[in-house]
Amino acid sequence: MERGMRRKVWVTGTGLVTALGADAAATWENLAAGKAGRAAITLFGTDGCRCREGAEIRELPPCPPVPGRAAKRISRASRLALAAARQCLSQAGWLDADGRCADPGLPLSLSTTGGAMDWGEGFFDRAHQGKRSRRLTQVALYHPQHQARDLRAAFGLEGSCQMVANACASGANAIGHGFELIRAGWEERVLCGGYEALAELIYAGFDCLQALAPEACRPFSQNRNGLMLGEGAGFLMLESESSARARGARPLAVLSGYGQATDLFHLTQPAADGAALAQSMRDALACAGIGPERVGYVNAHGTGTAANDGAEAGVFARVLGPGNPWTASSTKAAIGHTLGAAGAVEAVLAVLVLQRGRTLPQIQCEQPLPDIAAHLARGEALPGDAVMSVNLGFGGSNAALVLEKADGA
Amino acid sequence: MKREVRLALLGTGAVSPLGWGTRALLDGGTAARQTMATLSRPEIPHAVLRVPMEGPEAAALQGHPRLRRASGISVFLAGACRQALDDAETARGPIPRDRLGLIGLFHTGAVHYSRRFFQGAREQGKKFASPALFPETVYNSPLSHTAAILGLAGRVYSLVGDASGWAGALATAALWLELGAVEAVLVAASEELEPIALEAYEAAGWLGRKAGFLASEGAAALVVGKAGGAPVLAGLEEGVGFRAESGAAAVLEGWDDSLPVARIEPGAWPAGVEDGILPGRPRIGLPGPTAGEAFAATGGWNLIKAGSLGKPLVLPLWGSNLQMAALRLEA
Repeated sequence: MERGMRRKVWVTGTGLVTALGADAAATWENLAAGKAGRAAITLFGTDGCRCREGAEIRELPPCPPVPGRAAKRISRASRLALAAARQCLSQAGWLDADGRCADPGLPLSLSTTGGAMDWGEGFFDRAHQGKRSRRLTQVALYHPQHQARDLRAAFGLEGSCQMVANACASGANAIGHGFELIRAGWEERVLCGGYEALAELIYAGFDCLQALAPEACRPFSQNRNGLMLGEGAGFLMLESESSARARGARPLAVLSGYGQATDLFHLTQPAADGAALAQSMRDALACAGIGPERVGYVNAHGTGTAANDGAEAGVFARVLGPGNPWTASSTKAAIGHTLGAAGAVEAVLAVLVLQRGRTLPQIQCEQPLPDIAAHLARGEALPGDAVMSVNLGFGGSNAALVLEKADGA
Repeated sequence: MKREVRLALLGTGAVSPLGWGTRALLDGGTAARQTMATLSRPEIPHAVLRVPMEGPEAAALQGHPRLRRASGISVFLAGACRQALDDAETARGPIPRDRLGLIGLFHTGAVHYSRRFFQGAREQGKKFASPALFPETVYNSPLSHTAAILGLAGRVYSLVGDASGWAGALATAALWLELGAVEAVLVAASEELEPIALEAYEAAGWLGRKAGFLASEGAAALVVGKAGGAPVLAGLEEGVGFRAESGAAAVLEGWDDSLPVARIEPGAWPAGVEDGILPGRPRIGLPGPTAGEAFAATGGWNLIKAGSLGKPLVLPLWGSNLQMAALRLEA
């Protein structure tokens, strides 16, 4: 390995499952058409909640080929992760005829915030009611390490696994970690991804914080009034350029920059000046070695909450500059906020923007914030050859990724 | 895959049922056993080990604005991290805060507030769910508090994992150091004990009299930097899954088979497996009385104990979910 050198990192595969589609192509078509996946929550009761809607996936992806009883033990979270990971490995050319990964040592860099929380809720309910059967199954399946085990079992993986839980920036951190492992020459390839299934405890939590929009989610609009929770999974196959070239793989994009910084202001609120986000974006651009004039699109965090969007729009204006051609949109208005999966899901969408050469339009923003009004994406031709995906999270986590068009992609 | 990394252990901190501080972990007396019941059978007490909270260090931390509402997991973590940083800075001078990374490892996570939040929502209805409790349920809330208390605005990662996760956490620290992103890294783990967690241990069959499992809580923290001058971590194998003892043995073999393997304390659950898979291999006991099983925190305590020996050895890190890792330490 070329340890110590700074190597190019290619994206050779993507996988995506959202409320707007069971794969990347379907999600893209619906996003480009301006559709939103908002509907009544059916997975659990919402009595007593201020909000009762979200971006729920109505039809889960097919279960992997496992025996009947074992299939019942595949959690909703694992179902989402397995489907997106399979798409990703397949596109990258790493699945063999039996559906196993051709590189059993492939490391995993994963993210989630809730794991299989629905199983954890079942465990609590049974214990709370004094019921003692099925507790072990429920608590074991809840833990995020079990979803990693499901992925390993499905694809025959025996390598290491790191699980980042930096709240809503986790997905970008998981990708950033994989990027740095390859860039430093520690690994030739890493399967990176995030997944999140809607869960009652988390839904009730955001609802009681009055963070959920009772009506449409309106990122970057002056009349925004909260976020829409969603669920899904996004995966990227990252490979060193040299190893990907050696096996004749083609890049979908080049992942060239990553930045991470921490906001110490408050556990749940970003600082108004967005200094940590600005730092992470500047670090990511410096890591990529490009200036802001190259950035044509930013997949924004854009939750639709009062505190997030104002700070974020101000940071974009400062870091990317008002005179540069950048555009931005938050796809959370359409597919919801997928929390621990968000950074990975949105990074996949950023790759698609590069590949298709068009931005994804901002929907449901009737009264744009002044800092971003002139830059809101409308689905136009991509005005640059680089894109960014940025995320913020509870606890002050901020992360930014830079992706560039690959030569010959 | 075994990976060569070179990390200096610059400082240590520990909060355990044996007391506050690394010295208590290594030389302390016997931790007082207390009892706790599961949620489903409140009438049956189980022996557990709890962190003593009556000292000045705990009181000072609990008075900090960020920890005013936080549960034990956050208080333990902040305490261990502050000790480790003080230890490192006493020995080598100030470490610039913007060049100090922070990595936290959690297995059960913030279960106390998670249970209280969900129980409140169930018993009183979601309309009365508590906005004060929910943010503290998030996996990275303990690390967020510690970052704020110590003024660490750079790289901060919360990782999910058991004791075996220490290898990945230390590998990440080594990666950050190699990339030049940081000058030193605080690597820490924290766990809190709570009836819903005890329920899980009981469901797994770990609380039986012969199981050799004593549920515990607390935190461990290390400051690591590029190698030079202090005890050195020389290699690691990250947490890989194993389904048979041969898989576990493979993690412990192949370094230098003349190196002694640290012996998990007699009576602890992996001890029998270790003895079975390491016939003829030199062993070395870890110092200090038992602090019980606190998953990610226990991995850190064992690393601190192993480092205190100042001898080359292999330290097994047994995970609870058929996952294990190992570290190779140099003198």
